[in-house]
Amino acid sequence: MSARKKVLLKVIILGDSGVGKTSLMNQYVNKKFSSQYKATIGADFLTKELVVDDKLVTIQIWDTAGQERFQSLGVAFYRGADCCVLCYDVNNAKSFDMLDSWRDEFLIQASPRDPENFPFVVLGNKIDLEDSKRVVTQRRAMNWCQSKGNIPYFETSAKEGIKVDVAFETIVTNALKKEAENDMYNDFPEPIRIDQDASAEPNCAC
Amino acid sequence: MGSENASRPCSPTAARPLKPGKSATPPSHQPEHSPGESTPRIRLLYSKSKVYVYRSLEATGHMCGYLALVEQAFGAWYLVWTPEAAVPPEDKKNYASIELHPDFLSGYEEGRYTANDAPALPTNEDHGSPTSSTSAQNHCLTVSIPSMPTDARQMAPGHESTSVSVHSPEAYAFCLPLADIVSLIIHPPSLTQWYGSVIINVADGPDYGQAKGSAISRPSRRLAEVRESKPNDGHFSSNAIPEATAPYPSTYSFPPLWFHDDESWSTVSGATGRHWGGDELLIWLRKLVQVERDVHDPNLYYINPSSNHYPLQPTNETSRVALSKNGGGSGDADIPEVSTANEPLMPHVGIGHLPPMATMNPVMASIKGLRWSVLERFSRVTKLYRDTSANVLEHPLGRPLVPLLPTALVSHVEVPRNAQDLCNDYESARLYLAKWAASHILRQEEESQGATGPARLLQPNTSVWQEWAAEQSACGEFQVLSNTAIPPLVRSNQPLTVERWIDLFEHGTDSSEYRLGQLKWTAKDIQKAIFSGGVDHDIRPQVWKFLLRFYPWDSDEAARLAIRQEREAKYYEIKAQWLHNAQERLTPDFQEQQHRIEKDVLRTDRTVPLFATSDTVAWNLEPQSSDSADSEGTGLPGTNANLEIMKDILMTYHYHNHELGYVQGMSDLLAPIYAVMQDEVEAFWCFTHFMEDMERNFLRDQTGMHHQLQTLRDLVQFMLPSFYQFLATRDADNMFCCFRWLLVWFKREFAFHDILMLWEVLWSHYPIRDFHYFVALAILDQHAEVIVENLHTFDEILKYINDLSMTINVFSTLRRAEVLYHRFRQQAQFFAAHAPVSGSPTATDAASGLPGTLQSLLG
Repeated sequence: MSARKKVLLKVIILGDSGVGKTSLMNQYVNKKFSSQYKATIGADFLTKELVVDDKLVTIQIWDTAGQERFQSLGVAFYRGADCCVLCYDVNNAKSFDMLDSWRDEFLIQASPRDPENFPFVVLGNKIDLEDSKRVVTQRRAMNWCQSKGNIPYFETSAKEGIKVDVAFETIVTNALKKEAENDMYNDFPEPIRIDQDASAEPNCAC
Repeated sequence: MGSENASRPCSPTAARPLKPGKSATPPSHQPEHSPGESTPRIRLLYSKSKVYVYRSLEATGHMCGYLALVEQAFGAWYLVWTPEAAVPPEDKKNYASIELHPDFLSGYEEGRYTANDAPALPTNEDHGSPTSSTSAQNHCLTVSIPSMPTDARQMAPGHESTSVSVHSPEAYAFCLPLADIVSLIIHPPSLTQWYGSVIINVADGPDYGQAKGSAISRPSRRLAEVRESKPNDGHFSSNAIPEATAPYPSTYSFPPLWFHDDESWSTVSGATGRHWGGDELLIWLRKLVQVERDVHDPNLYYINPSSNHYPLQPTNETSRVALSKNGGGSGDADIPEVSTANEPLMPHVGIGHLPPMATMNPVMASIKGLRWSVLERFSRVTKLYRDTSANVLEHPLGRPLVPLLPTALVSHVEVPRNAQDLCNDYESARLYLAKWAASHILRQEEESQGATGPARLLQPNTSVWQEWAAEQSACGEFQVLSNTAIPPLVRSNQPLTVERWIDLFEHGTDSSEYRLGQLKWTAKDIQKAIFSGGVDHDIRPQVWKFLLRFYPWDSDEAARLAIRQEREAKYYEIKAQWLHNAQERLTPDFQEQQHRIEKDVLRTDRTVPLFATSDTVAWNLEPQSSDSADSEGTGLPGTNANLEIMKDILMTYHYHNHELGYVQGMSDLLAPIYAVMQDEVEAFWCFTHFMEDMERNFLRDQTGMHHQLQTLRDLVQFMLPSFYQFLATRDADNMFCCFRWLLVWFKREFAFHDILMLWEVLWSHYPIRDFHYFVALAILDQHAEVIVENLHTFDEILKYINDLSMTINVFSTLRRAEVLYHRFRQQAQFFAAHAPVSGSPTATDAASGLPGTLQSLLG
């Protein structure tokens, strides 16, 4: 039965409004870029099928609204995520500064089983713009990623398709690892989740 | 045995004539048993039609018959089940008149209440007739009972059985002396057991069933395992598969009798609303024999416990166990094949206080009071049932209901299992199929557009409605709700023309009634006209200023001129707060707002010609970034003059409504207004007034959106209960899939020119302010069937709904929304009129039965 098990990976893309979340998703899934994407309202997703280690894997990439005001909806969409992609714009310092709060917000709302080891990937997007525009250095970004438990970091251009594929391959790999762990957990009945309470992360206040 | 003979209120040989006053009501008095007849005619005390024995779980294995209490010549009472086919045609009307006779029906009420107090042995304590409290006894209607021997006391076992096939309904007929019944196991209807059931346990018959029956194969299904009994005194036998081997030596259970109340005469005629067949049976039994409810098993009733059939020490666990064992697993006999799994889902009625009657719980009773046929529609309204009702259809016993259900619901039930498996690996394939199905329906609808009336447009649901309405009117007792009761639709799809609009204004100066440039129609009339078909594009800049309260409806030309000047000054005053304020522009607040607005405006409706070009350098950028205000520099699309004005308007709005500020989505709300006005001042004020209505969507704590989602959810639950149920089982009842619809008023769902029309219709606030909920409901209604049939998960539903964008026909949606609105009103009124009595646990709102969120939609 498990031999025929279908693998569905749920990946959530988060980050400030306008950093290129929709563009990254579309570049990866459809190999297309458009400068006419509208601001995302609510949430939407695209799926892509891959073969990884002879396994058919469906990756479901969730694109969400960037304005923090709408994050309270996240709980409906983040549940069951296998990986979270944090995006910022290397030309926008604010969007980098917000990574912390995006990460925290995700951990609160998705409340994954093992928040310390939940797979994140960070993408610094829009590296196609002229260097003079760049405000967040690679070193700064890598330092941050290291401090958060060695989060893999990629500098991408959704517009030019730079590093998008390799970034998503890492996302898939890490998500698959997570999925495998989940399967181990899932051998046990679902509802009792004592580990949740024991987690050190700040949990949902409600 | 003998004690029951004490009263013979109306023996067949001494039938009293009907009371004069009653002669018209009951059917003609049947001739009494004449010696020449082959079968004796026996007095009918109680009858219930559409009592089923299930030979198998499939509907084809359900045998319909009459359950009756009859009084034999010597005053002995029998419980008889006769298949419909075996009832002589001339007897049917007697069954019907007994079932429908008002005296009998009112007798239920009496019986119900007296029985609640103290079940008495009527034959011993009630002098005279056990039915003397009603005049029903006066109507001696008789029937012949095929299964009853000509002389019951000397009937030989297996007398008639040789001629009866074991598979024929006749084989299941029985005629049992009440004295031989030990106990009844009664399960009232509940939402998990749609029909109530009664299982009869009879006394043991040690020598019974061993002689002839071994050759006859027993039906394979457990339900059909008829374990026959023969009392040991030998004076009785029934002919129902008498030869079937009796596996239990002492007590025998008959197969459950299922009371299909919704089909029975008394229910169809509207005569009984709040009783079900088992309830009625108990009432009648109590008039004849002693009935006691087991203190532990609320479904177990002892008949004449003081007689020696069964030791009346049932008050311990063992007795219950013994009974269910003896009863051939009676506990699961009425929940065939799934008993264990579903046990926790079966709420046992009456546990705790154990009223002496097998009444339905109050909720069920009140719903039943609303008619069985509307159960499906209304049960979902009460949250109590949200979770259990799904089980009804998945329950094997729910399956027989399928043919009776609304078509939309049937499709829900009959999603083929194998197709489901096939699709499981290919979610995208499912989504694709769903979209294909939807487009097919859409095409059909468009093809039939010529004949679009509400009925045609809303075929699936209308038919349900019509069925319901038809039944209501057939009953005559309930308010007739039908399509004809929906007022003619206002929707015409004819836009208000330029000529008509101009004509609406007073042009002369000498009119005493109107001032120059004043509208000659009332606001209500104009709003209604706009609702019906929108307005011609050329007059939109004018009309929208009225709709968006830039000008009052009753203003004249002079007033409007003054307003325009005043508003212009005011706008630039606000704008000046940021435009030429270097200090302000350096604040983080300003820069953050500017960044947000910039990003969003440059991504708003860039396919609309007005916003398509990128030929301008951004106007209001800070000096340090002005050298790079091109698209290459920011990674954002380029800008143009109109987009720059939009940015200014939104920034000024931020200063006008500082509490709220600019929030993503507002640029979508501004774009159509700006595109129509193409005037900064007017667009600003119209947008600001629009935002007064939309503000709730953008609150920091999102309470407004949650309220809106809740309202839509309640509306869907009320109007499309089966669809709601589906959403709930897929965790999609949070309605997040409609978040975008509500947040920006379908801006992303329709083409730009459709939005212009849709919004002016919604701005007309006709017939209610929040008509957009009905637009949402209409889209869901249109796609509900496809969604239910094809989609399985919240993800898929969300994706499907997101992908409806730009495929929705705005005209048919508005028409459907209008119909739904009228239906909503009718249903709400009906519901209010038949709402459960306050204090009942179902009453969400005791006054009207409507959730609070929906009250405001009544207008």
